[in-house]
Amino acid sequence: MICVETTPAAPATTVTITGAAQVRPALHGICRWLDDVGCNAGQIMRAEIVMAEILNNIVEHALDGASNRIDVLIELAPVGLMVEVRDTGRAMPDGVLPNGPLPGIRPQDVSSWPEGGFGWAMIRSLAENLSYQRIGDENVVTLCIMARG
Amino acid sequence: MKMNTMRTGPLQVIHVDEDRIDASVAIAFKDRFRSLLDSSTDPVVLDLSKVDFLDSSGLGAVVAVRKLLGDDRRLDLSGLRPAVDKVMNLTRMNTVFAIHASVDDALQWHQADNIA
Repeated sequence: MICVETTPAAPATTVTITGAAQVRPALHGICRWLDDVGCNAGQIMRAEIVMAEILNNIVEHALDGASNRIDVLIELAPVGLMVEVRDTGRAMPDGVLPNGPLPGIRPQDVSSWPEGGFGWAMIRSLAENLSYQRIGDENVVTLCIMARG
Repeated sequence: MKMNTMRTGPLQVIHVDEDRIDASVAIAFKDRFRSLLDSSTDPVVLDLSKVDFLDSSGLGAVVAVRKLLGDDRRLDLSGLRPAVDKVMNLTRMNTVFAIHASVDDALQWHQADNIA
């Protein structure tokens, strides 16, 4: 007799989008799923901020044609959410993720206040185990959003 | 972009009646804000009490409208919900904007400021 051991699969969800107009509905779907599987409000908030910045970066900087697509996979693990984002857009310049230091602010000089450059700083603050690889014609970003922030 | 304005004492309050300020509406937000501004130099309070979510593009748009007011007119924020508050903290922009719990709090703060 053959005994097959099976491990129950972790709950997971996938989302595919092809352009900027789908970012908002994708985030809505992800947050609803996270709520359904019992994530706490703080983790859902952190996930929404990170995923918004990741997806906006891709649609703004990487995607360049109608054939591009972004595939998101999120697995619920005990330690946190394991996220993989694949896209068929342009590779990261220099093949690495931006360091994303926070833009400096000179409080007294309003005209100098930064209007951008916040995205990677927020991602790096809220996500763990951030990695990037170019695999074939795809960018693959993986990260973890801990259950407790 | 659903936004409206009212006068409250010495303040012009601009209220955002949308649940998100994100990349898809950042330009519409800036245009609508500009069209609602009155010609005074009174402080403006941007009331975000209906806004559940602000991404980095939305934050950039808020900074842009602050710049629109120049040095003679201030812009305060009020009614930050948790995710909006988180983004302001993460980016340290909470260190340069005055942030009030509500429009009423903003009004009290400005009236006290004017008396002092």
